[in-house]
Amino acid sequence: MSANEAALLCGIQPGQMLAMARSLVPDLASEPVAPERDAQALRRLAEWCRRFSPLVAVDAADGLWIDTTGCAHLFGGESAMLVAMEAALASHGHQIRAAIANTAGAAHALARFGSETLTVLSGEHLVQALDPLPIAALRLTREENDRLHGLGITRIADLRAVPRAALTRRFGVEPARQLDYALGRQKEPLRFDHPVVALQATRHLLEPIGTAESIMQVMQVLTQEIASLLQKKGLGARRFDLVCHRVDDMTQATRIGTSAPINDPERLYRLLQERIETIDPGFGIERMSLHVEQAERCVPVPAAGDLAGSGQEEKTQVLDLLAERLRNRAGLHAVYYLGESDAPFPEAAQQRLAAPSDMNTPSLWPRPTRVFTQPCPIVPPDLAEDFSPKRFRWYGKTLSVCGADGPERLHGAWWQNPLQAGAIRDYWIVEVESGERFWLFRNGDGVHRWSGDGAWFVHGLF
Amino acid sequence: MKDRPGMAMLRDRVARIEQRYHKPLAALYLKTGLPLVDEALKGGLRRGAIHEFMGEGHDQMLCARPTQFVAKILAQVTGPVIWVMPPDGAPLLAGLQQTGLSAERLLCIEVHPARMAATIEDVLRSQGVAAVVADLSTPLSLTASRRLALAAETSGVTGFLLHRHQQFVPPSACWTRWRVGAVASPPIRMGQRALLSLAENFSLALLRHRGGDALNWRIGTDHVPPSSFSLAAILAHDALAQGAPAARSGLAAGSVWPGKAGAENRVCQ
Repeated sequence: MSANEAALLCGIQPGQMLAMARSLVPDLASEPVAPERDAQALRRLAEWCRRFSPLVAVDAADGLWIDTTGCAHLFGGESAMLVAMEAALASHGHQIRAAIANTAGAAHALARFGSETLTVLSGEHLVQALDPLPIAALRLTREENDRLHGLGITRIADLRAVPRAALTRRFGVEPARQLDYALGRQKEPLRFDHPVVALQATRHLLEPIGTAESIMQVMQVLTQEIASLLQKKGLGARRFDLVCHRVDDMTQATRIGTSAPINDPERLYRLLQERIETIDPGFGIERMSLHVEQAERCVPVPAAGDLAGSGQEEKTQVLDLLAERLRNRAGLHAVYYLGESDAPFPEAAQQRLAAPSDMNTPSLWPRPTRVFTQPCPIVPPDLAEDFSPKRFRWYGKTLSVCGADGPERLHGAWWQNPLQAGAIRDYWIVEVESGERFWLFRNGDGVHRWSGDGAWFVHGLF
Repeated sequence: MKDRPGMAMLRDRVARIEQRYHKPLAALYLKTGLPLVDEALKGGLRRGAIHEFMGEGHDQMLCARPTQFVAKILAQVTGPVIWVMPPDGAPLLAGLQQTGLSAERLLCIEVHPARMAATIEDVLRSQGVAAVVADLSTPLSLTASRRLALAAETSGVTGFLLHRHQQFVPPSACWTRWRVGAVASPPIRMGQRALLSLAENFSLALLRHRGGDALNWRIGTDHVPPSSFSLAAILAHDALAQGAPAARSGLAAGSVWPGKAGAENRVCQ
């Protein structure tokens, strides 16, 4: 019989007979042992623990393995992670003992036999920390445990002192191997379950395939199966993986993201087809599966074509489909639509949008189609009587101005950027003798220092 | 009997060539909006072909005038436009909108210059796109341009290449090659000030044209976007327009002035 904390407080001891416990606490709640339900609950808890790390495995009977490699910094360090874990599990009514160590064996031992409930062990203290622990910490069978005890080997330090050859001869390989696992002399294989994916379709192939046509055919079958599953659930895929298992036991995964939840087999297939060149079949692919990693509710769209204005929608859909296809393509830096922002200075006046916006109003002031990425600084030009630029130097040539329009005064966005408070730019459009029109601007109004330093720039050409 | 597959293939090809000319004129050509240019090109810029554009003088790196010219052409057609460019090379949206090209039709793709040709070809092969505009930072090889031309011909998508560099542009398989430059426009004098005329004149040189002659035009266009009211008409009654040269009247559709050089000069008015 085992007991929880409340029962322990009432004086019940683990291992007592139930009748004796009942006589101590008449209203004792007891449940018969149900190993299967325990295992199920542990599996569920393991699933829940995926929030800490993607690699979680059940350690039979009462434990969980969590591979925290690369995850601890998300919680602010290993000890902080353990504290967070304890608090999260405590809110679920679980009391835990946990240890983080370099080796799975050491973590297992410290979590169960360590002096504290939460232990973080760094590499160099591994041996010192393990030495005082009983040999029961080493995942040995009961028989091996008893025989070692019979010889007076009770702690890990004693076991470490026994010559290896003698140990192996008398007790078999298991104690030595467990010791190696704990001390990190030998790598321990751990089996981590893959997360349960809600939707997946798999095809085992009779013959390994290697040609693009046959891969495409399997893809088509898989997308149709996934699409019908998604449609039944009213979901659309936002992210899905195509996993190809090769004959030489290699696994290749291709991840595809979509801009909107989709469950149309044709669209899914087209996105997959786009990536077919990235799949290396090697000696052949023997199993292909399609997992939906992320799905969202998909609003069914009524069939178009009967109402006016559907043609317009179709047209934008062409662009959306193309954008989606290109976003999944490797090697492109960015795929975006242009949209206006509310920043006043031209270089910040446009932004990148994932979807087109129809909120744009053409500027009333003349704007060039091209500007330099960075405004090019120039020597302050000679000014005419009306303060318009008369002559300026550009790439070593002096250009004299035939006509000028301006100034168009732009004020900095002080409400967005405190550095731009009071900043002013005076823009001029000037035409030089050859007919080229330059877009010049001066930082500041030319009078007050606070409005800008008075430097001149060429921003673009008309 | 031996010839039969060959004959079938030939017939198939002839049918495909003929198919092109069964379409209406608007489906075959993109109008430039300049009547004389359209007339010289027998309808406008050919759809399903590649057209190259270059800047002139200080505009070679920036290609502002060619961009404006291309945007004005694209503003007159419907359908999505894909703009392929090297990173951080986006055109200014405000300027594009003034030419009439709306933002929701425009999809921008940034790609490393080394992958530029492959990306253009990929986009050219996609269905439902009206045109592809690409900013080139190096000239394309003849093979690459041939591939693009073939891709454009199969899909019917028109390609515009803007040469934003100062290197020599070798012969290519493109249908036309243009140079768009600036022409001085006489300023409007008002007292001490020399104001700019609204008409932004530009020179248009057709350097290469497959199956056609090289031509030159000098054009004064209306600076006002087509959706807006005609500012020139209002200014005609204003003090500003008093000093404007007489040639400014009737510029709305793009009058053509005598050119300086070139294989053939079209003279008008």
